[in-house]
Amino acid sequence: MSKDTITDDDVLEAVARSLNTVTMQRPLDEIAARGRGLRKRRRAVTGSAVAGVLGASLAVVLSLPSAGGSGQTPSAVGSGQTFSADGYSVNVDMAGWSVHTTASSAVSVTLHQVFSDPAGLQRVLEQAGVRAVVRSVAPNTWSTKCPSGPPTFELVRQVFTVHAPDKATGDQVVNIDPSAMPVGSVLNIVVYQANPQPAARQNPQTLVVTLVHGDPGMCVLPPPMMAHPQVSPVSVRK
Amino acid sequence: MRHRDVGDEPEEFAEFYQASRDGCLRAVYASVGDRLLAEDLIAEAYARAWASWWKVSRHPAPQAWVVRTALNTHVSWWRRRRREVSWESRGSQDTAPTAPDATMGVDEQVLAAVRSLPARQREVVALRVFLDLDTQTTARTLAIAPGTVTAHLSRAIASLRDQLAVSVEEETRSR
Repeated sequence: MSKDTITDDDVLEAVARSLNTVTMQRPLDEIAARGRGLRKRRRAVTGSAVAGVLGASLAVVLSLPSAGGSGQTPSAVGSGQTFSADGYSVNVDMAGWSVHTTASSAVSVTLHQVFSDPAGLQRVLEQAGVRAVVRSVAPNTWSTKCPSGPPTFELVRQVFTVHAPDKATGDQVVNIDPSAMPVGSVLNIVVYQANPQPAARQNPQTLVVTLVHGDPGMCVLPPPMMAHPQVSPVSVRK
Repeated sequence: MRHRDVGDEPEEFAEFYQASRDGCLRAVYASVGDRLLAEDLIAEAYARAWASWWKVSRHPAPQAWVVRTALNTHVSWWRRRRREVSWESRGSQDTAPTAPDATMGVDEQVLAAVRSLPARQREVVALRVFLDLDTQTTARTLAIAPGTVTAHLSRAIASLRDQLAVSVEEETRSR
């Protein structure tokens, strides 16, 4: 085949054929979760511009279908679980944790002293626009199979902040900005249960949060040596 | 036009995503040359489309909007990453290893030929070939005149033809 015998259609067909096997693998859920975060941020900006007038008109409260839909029935406390009418502000208080969104689109997660129902927390975080994998693991159990990559501390600082446990209540607060999460990234939230051994009283419930790209799988980083939350290096591709 | 939501996800968006995602990915892949990066860029662009679906759905070619957004995002990510790398440390590996199956089945020679085109020509080819857009819509999407689209496409095809002919000759000789 010479240059003269290659038609325009041949060229365009060759280009089309060259990527025939390339298909988009991202699930729609992931796209929607990120879109929800972006929309929430935009609404927060718009909302602040109109001095919260619209917020008052949207104060219809819907009930959350069982946050513990995996067979567990977590006990709700306080005002229980609510979503505002636009479906994007989340206020959920459960026995083991709470999730609240703020006007600035941030998501505040409080892990109570006795954490429970990680699957429920994961679902509610997704409703709040945060892609996360939440697990509660036994003390001294960790897997080294973790995604690796260059740490980007600047990015982690933008995405989440872990506060030291409250001395009086033992609650731990994590503030998250879903809109700062790069697409495809996931918060890997691991809660080490308190060690029941009396000799290990200095090992209370401990929280480890990392930002990873893609599915963290069974990645559980070793807990920090002291009873203090650890902000681990991020692993996000690019 | 409907804007009813299922859950909190626009119903039409799901259909749009299913129908257009592969073509959009291929168009961006042809432009950036990195499969995983292209997927990230397209996912980000679709997420933005999701967030503004009421507006994007009115676009004459929403899939072109997605591709255009992905390519614009590429530029801004590249700039931001350049700042982050210099802020963080030298020598950090900012090129992730490509997954083994990321380029499986891809004709690397043709892809390389497309990538060697000037950016505008590459975009025109991507929109015409992978999104099947006509000249008018391509022109509107790229904010250029229809005649310019035709000229870019003609030059791109000529250049690609030269490169493909060379490849075919080399293959024939090596047999």
